[in-house]
This record gives sequence, C-alpha cells and structure tokens, in this order.
Amino acid sequence: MSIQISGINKRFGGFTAVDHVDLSIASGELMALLGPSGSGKTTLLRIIGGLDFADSGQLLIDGVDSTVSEPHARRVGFVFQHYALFRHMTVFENVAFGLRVARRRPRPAEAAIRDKVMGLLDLVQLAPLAQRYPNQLSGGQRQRVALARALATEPSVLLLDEPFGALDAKVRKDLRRWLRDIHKGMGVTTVFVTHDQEEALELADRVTILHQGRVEQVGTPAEVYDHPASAFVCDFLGGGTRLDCTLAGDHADIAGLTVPLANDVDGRGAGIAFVRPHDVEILPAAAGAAARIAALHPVGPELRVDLDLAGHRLEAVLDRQSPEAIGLSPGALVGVRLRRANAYPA
Amino acid sequence: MAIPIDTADDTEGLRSEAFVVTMPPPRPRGALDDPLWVKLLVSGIGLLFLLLFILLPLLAVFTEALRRGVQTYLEALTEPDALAAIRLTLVVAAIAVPANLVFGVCAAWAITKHRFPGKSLLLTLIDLPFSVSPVISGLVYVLLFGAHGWFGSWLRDHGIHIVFAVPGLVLATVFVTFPFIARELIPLMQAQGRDEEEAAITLGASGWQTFRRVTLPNIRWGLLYGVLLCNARAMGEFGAVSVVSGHIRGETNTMPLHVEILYNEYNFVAAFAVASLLALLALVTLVLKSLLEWRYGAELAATRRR
Repeated sequence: MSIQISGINKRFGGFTAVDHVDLSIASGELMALLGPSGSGKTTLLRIIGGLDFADSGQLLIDGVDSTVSEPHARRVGFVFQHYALFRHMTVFENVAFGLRVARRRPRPAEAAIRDKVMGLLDLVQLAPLAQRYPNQLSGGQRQRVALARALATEPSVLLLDEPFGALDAKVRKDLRRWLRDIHKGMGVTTVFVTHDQEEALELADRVTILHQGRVEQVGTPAEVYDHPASAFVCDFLGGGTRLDCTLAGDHADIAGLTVPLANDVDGRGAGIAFVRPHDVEILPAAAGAAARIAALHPVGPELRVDLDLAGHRLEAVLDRQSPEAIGLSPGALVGVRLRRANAYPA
Repeated sequence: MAIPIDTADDTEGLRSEAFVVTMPPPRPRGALDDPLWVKLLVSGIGLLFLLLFILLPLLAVFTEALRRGVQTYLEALTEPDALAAIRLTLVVAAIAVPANLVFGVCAAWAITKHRFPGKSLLLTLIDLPFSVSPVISGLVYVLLFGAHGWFGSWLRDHGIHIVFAVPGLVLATVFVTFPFIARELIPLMQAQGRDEEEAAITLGASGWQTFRRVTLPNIRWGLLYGVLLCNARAMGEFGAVSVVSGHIRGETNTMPLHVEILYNEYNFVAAFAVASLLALLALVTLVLKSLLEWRYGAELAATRRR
C-alpha cells in the first residue's frame, strides 16, 4: 500500500524532530530512511506506525487519512531496534501474539494459529526453536522472530527501526540479503530506518536522506550516490575528502588542479569539493600534480593511501594487487590526478 | 516460501549465557585483595554486631516466650484478646495490602510508561510516608476524622466511626505502607522500558490486553516481592496504628499494640508469646524474600540480557 506524507511536523519540547516532511512511498516499495542520529528518521517511522503522532501535517496510508488513527487500524507491522520480544513468552507465543489479541471476530482457531505461526517460523527458519525463550536466542535469531511476529498479522506496511543495528557484520550481511528476498516474495511496502549508508544503498529501492528533521534528497541508490543534492548528502554517502575549492562553471580549482565536476553547480567563487578515494588516480612521480605519500593502510583487498597534496590531506584507494599499488612506500613522491569531484557553494 | 539463509548464527543460541557455566579462573592476588588479618577483622566485626544486635534479641524473644513451657505459651496465644489482636492484624493487612497493590501498580504504570505533568510531584509524594514519622501519619487521621477533627462532627452525625475503630487502623496502615510496592516496581519497569508495550500495541492489543499479557507477567516477581515487604510492614506497624487505635482490648488492638499492653502489665510471657509470632512473621518474610531475590535476580538478569 502506498504511503503519502505531507507537511508532517513533530516537536519534542524545544527540539524539532521532524520539520515539514513531504514524502511519498509507492506500493510495494522498499524505502530506506537514512540519516545520522537526531535526523528524525526514527520519529518519522514511528509517526507512520502510529507510535507517535504528528503535531501537524497529514499521513495517508493507501489513500486513507491515518494521521491520528490507532496503530492496529493502520495494519502496520513494526520491527523494533532492540526487537522488543516478549521475554516471558516462547518464540511460538511471541509470533502468535498478534493473532491471539486480534479484534476481528471470530478470532482464529487454535489450529489455524498453529499453522500460521509454524509457517512463519519455517519462513524465518526458526521452527526448531519454537519453544525457546528470547534470552536463549542469538541476536540474529531474535531479529528473525521479531520479523515473523510483525508479519503474522499480515500487515500492509512493514516498518523496521534500525533492523540490523545491533548485529555483527556477518549476520548483518546475511539478514540484509534475506530481508531483500522476503520483501521480493511478499511485496509488502517496507520502510526501514538506518544510519548505515552502505545498508541503505544496498537494500533499498529508493533512499530518503534526512538531516535535522528535513528531507535532503530522495532517489534510487544510484541517483543519490552519483548526484548528491547537497554537501551534506555527499558527505554522508561517503563523499571522501572534503577540500576547499574555487567554482568555475563545469569544473573547480582544487589545490591548483582543474577538476571536472560530477554535479551541476550554480555560481562561481568559493566552494566545497568532495573527492572520493576512487576518483584519485596515482601516477608516476613526473605526471600530474606532485604529492607525497603520508601513510599506507592495507585493508583487506584494498590499499588505502593518505596523500599530502600541497598541504591538503587526500585519501586514495587502490587494489592491493594492482601495478600502481606495488612499489608505493611512505614518504615517496607520486603524481596525482583527480578524475572528478562533487562541489557545492560554500 | 522458505528462503535459504546462512544459519551460522544459529549456533550462537547454544552459546548464549543461559547455557554456559563459566568458572572463574584461579586469580592471582588482585589489586583489591586485602591481607588475611584485615578480612578476618572486618568480617569478625560484622558478625559480632549481627550476633549482638540481631540474633541475640531474636533468641531472647523465643526463650522468654517459652520460659513457662509450651502449655503457657499456647494459652497466651489462644486467650480471647490475643486471638482478637491476631484476627484484627490479619484483617487490616488483608485490606491494606491489596489496596496498595492496586495503587502501587497504577502509580508505577503511570510514572514509567507515560509522560504527564506533575509526574515528578507524584514520584516525590510516593516517598512521603518513608520520610515522615509514623506517629504523624496516625495523628493526621485523628486531626481529620477524630471527634474534634475537620470531619469529626459530620461523621458523628452519620454514625460513622473511623478513629478508634477498624477503618482508622486500615487508613493509617495504608498510608504507612503505600511506598513499598510502587517503589519496588518503578525501577523495574523503568529498566524494562516501553518497547514491549509498544510492540503489543502495534500487534493490535488493547490497553488492557497489553497490561495483562505483557506488563503484568514482566513485573510479577517484583510485584510479589513488594507485596511481601508491604505485608510485613502492615502487620508490624506500631506508631501510626497506635495513635488511631485507642487501644480497646479485643476490638482495636493489633498484635504489636497487644504486645505493648501485655508488657506494660508485666505479663512478660504473654507479651513475648505474641511477639514471637511477629518475629516468626519476620523470619518467614526473610526466607521468602531471599527465595524471591534468588528467583527475581535471574529475571532481572534476563531483562538485561535482551
């Protein structure tokens, strides 16, 4: 089901958590709300879920005004950051809870509940652990129980608050792929909150980037990465090195180098440029601008290179096996070329 | 539809705290280890105090009570005034404890799960009975409902007796014991947060269903613990009850008041016999409390382990 948010505001005391947010989420879409902490992403999610109510503005779910309706009337499933499993209930009872408290009558029969719950536990591959208690499960397992519980009431919208925030890197990666598959299989409109740009870009159909309660940009992962609408978005999505520059139409002057711009900028004069590590080319010493290698950090398959370019610290990244990478040593002089940059008026 | 996922983390469940018993490794002398003589001296002082001020008096109560033999002991307890005192104490506790149970749960629920103006005031007021002398608690009711009190003449006209009657005893007891349950629940419910309640609401539970199926089971051990302490205090309360009781034998005497009367009449055996019942209550309470702490400690740990 589609979600229409128009002019939503929410204040907590003197703090503006959500500031005039307009956003539309298409039916069946997988949308990420991305932003640093305090950007209002969780508050926005809670407003969609009916756990908080907007001070002003309107929320339409499937065309129905849901601004002030109770959570259960919205038919949303909510997965909490810390799972919020009922600790005194078994995995089975956790998943069955939504069916047992259903307000429509007659409530499902015990056999129907059993089938439904075991079906969901099969889906999340936890059927053998149905009689365990939450504190006997690992983080990844708890997360999957939380998801099964949210899906049990057949929600039309699935909301997830930092779904993988508390998990270690490997489990997180598996669950990400798995959530993507579940979403594909069920086609339920899904909104998830994250502060991890990689997670948002990898998982979502579209990404909404929030900053200080406002929407900075909405777009597909490729759009927002390739064409960041603002300095904040660019920086937050891994903008690389931030450098002062002089804007000059389709290019910018950065530390004496002329660099083509990836984005369209109005105006000339002082600006801020972001150069991603992948756009820094390392050449033999004679070619390009002279730079000195300040430090080398081998990280897995990559070699991260800290460069000193006329007093500016610059970061580059190379494949460790590549010919350019071999033979680099700290203190050596190399040539540097900047392929492109994103720049914004200062 | 089953989607294959990497089940590597499934094994983690088996490794969770619930299954692993870790033995502390033999530790070399650490920074906080004191020399043996210090340990002995400190624990010796502690034990000596315990012996002198707690164990000895407790022992004295029972030896005094049984000084003239079991027969006299039992007679002292089954004498009509003693029986009336026991009955009255039970009645007062049977009213005061449930009243505070309801109040304590409501107050803790309101304070920990909701935001409202006057919250910190309520929190402070709950502590009032702890900070005020019990005598004053009793006196307040005499001033309010006594013959010359604010509502005294109205009550007399309508034939209602509060002070020097059972209602006054109940009121004073409720006042003195009302922080016990609320104070026990508030930190527990604060630590548990509101996540589970919110989850229940989004799953379609009503407010009552959420309370009965989620909140109440989560606080049951803490609640029982609070009830136990509240009950011990309700039965043992002396000061506040003494002011409103009027000490009418067989009518408004609770056990602690009865002990005092008997003692003042130099009827030591009977006084100690009734006192031994109160001491017994204290011991039973302690045992139950330890059992609950043992049990409830695990529950609390489980909440932190979420």
